[in-house]
Amino acid sequence: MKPTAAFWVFLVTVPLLGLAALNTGNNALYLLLALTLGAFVASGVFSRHTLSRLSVRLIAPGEAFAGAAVGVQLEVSNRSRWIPAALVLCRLLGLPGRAMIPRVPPRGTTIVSLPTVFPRRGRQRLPAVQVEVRLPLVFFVKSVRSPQPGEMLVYPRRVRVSTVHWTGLAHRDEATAPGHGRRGGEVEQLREFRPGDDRRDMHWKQTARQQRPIVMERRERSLPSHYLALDRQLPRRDDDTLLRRFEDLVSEVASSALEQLHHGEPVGLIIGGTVTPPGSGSVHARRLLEQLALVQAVGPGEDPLPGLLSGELVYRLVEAR
Amino acid sequence: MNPVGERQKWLAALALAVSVPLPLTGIVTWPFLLPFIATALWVVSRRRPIAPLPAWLENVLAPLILAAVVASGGVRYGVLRPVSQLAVLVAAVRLPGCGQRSRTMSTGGILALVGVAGVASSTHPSLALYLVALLAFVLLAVGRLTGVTLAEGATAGRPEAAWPPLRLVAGSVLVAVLAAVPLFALLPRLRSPFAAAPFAGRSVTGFREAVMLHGIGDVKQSRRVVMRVVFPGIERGRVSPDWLRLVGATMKHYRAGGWVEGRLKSQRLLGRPEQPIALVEGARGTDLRRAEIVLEKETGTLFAPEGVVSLTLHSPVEVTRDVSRVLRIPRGTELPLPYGVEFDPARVEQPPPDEADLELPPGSDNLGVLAKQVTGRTTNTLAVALAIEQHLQRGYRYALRVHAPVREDPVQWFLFRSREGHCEFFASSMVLLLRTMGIPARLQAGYAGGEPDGDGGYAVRDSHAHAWVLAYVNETWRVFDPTPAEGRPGILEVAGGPTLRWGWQQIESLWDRWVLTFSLADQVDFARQALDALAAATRYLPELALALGGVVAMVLLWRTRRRRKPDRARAMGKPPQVTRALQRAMRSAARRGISIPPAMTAREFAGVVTDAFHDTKEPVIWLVREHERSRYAGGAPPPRREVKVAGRAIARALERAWRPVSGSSASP
Repeated sequence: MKPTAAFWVFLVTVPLLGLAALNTGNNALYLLLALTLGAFVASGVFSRHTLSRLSVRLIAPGEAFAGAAVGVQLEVSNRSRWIPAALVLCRLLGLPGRAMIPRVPPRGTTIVSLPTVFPRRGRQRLPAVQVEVRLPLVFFVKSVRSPQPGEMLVYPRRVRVSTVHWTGLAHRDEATAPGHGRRGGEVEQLREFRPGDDRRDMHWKQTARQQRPIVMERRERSLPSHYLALDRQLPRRDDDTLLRRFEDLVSEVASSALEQLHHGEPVGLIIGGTVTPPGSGSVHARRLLEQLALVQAVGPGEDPLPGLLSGELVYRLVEAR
Repeated sequence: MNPVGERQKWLAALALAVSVPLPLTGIVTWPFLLPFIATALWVVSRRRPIAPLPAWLENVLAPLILAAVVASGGVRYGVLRPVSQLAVLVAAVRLPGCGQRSRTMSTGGILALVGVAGVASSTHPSLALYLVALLAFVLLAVGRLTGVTLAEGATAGRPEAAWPPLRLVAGSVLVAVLAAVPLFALLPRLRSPFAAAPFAGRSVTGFREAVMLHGIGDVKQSRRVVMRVVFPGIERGRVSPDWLRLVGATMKHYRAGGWVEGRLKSQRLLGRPEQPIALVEGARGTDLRRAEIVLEKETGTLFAPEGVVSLTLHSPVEVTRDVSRVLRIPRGTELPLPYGVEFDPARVEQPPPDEADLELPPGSDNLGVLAKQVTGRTTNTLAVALAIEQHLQRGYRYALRVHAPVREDPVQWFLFRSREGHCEFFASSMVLLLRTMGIPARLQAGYAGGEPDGDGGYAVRDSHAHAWVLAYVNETWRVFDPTPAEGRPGILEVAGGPTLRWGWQQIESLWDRWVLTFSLADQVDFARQALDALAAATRYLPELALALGGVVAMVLLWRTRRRRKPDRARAMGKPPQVTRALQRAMRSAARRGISIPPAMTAREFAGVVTDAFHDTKEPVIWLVREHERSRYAGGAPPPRREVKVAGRAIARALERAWRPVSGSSASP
């Protein structure tokens, strides 16, 4: 509960009014004084009633990038039977932005979108929502904090990328083996159906002709694949400057990957000893972003890159001399 | 939506709202009020923000405003009027540009001062309605302006609909009024020791033993009942207004603008209850009337008609009579006090005149000149008195709101300058004018007239307080009343039934009794009654404690049950009601041939069952949504009644769809 300027004015005015009433014995002034105090009571009663019957639920956004505006949905419910909640202000604790809800009807729910910015990447708890009410008379800003259960993953910050540093595995034609789930590409041969084959690969004409199930075996079209390699070893782990630069590095890798994927090119990711084979599509993009959102810097020698990358272009922090 | 424009509009509307009582109470005169209202109307009609007046112009206007206030009388008529007039003119200057944040607070403060002045000078019962309406207006304005201010800084939301809900406004007004009633009764009615004597207002009309014409402040019309008078054996239509001229004080010493009388030489009357006490020695008149009076307000005086000859007390009380024949009782005598009087309507019982009845204040020469002008060459004392009476009745105006300047003699000020005043001014002037003509005269104060009280008698109220003149003409004391007819209280006959007028009078009476004249004595009475009631209740203390304990226990039990209900259900692994209703619907659908695998989700069930039974679509979807809300979204469970209704609707729809199939001979 935070007093407003109106409260301080009230605090000064009411004693003056009381003194005037006392001094003159004028009952009209006593009436005014009583009604003023009654209004103060009414304001307290109704603001408390409104606040105690409000509940808020935060619906996390589908994807959020650090440092970029994103809309979170707030579902504000009013459990009061009769009294609508008016001018409800919602804030996310620790995050910028606020939403004003003009009216939440009795026993009703209002959903409002609140644009905000998450400053850091990574898995983080959903921010608590602070709900504020002021009406009917703005003597106090009464607020309640509503902690939100659950977590959300914030992807790395997106930055403008000028040059992409591919590792030596870049531009290598990689023949993908025919098998389950590989339905693109050209037909390489026909063979008898084996359990586990995709029924959509049935060659119906041959099946009818040979009176046994025949499937097509395909060969994937060779596509150029790129790997982005991120070395998460820092010369010193406790150096704030290095950690900040590491964040920039992660942002650059994520942005490069996204840009490449946006053009339909498969991208692979090597983070320390973890290799994610190249792929494309939104699911693959999300997978890469999740890895990059969660990547943490380590000390020297803790998680080295594979040896075959020695001499290749790698995203790595080195100390300036 | 422009916040500056909104603030400007609402402040101008507030100015119009606070100006409502000003012309009705007369606290601000029209020359001051007109520019204020005109400016407010102009500002409220403008949509765009208005720029404030230039600083140099405000500086030029400031001394002009002060000069106007001084020219209109300054503090001659008290402080409230000049302050109010100053405030309205300053507000008129500040209203343009008041939407700017830097000027909003100051303009609002000035308007609040104007509003307080208007309320303080109001006595009409409609004041209560006005205050309630003003509170509703303030709530609306605050809600609107808060909405606008919040919308200014909000990054999301719909600020265009930021009006406070009417239900909230109405509820707030109701709670405020309900809270205000006990607060009004409990706020202490103590007069502050800091009250400056010259500015102390007279709160209400009423009888006063010492008539002080210098009193500053508004005289209010109180309708509090002072006494009830019955004339046994006399029909109401035959009661003369003179019989209801009830004397409370007779004064002959005019000093420093007031009439005062000592209480020396008072004589104690001895008598037993129900035995008449003779007040006149010697011959009694033949045409005597009897009046039964019940005194209800403490004044320290037993009021009686002019020609009272005997007094009968119905309860033992000590009565004294002073030299001017006024009957007094000790302060604090238990009321109501009934007593009876016999009086001769044709007589005025007064001691013979003496030198004091011809006393004049210094500098009364102009009074003599005026009296001679009025009476001409008349020498007959009765004709002189009648001429002066008529001159005052016709040449002067009756007004309640009169503020005689402190430094002037009020009678001189009334006769030669203001030419308006209330009954005390008229009576005082006539007494002094008669004395300049050598006619002994006295001023009498008391009550005149009354209203039928519905029981065959008359209710005499504070508003019937009056002052008149006794003049010794033709060797006898005679009553003169120089007050014009509109200021002379008389007998008000009211139709007996519950007419609108009667109803309004009841409202006025209640208003006067419980609002305008509500005093410390009433608060003490209430406190005493409450203590008495408490003392009486202590006899039943065990029973009361038992009953109270029972009520408290029931409330606590109810609250505990209410609080534990969901916990208990959760502890027992019982799903919420909405989920149980959904499970029932699933079982019911399964019995009707719908395949419900164990892992089927609520949404899958909704899809399956609504495909098979179209009528179930609406309740099933509602039930599933509420189930998901309460189970996964932490939402409040829906009302039990609505869940039951939805469950029944699903059951009925399944039943209807199933019957023709099961009853058909073609079905498998």
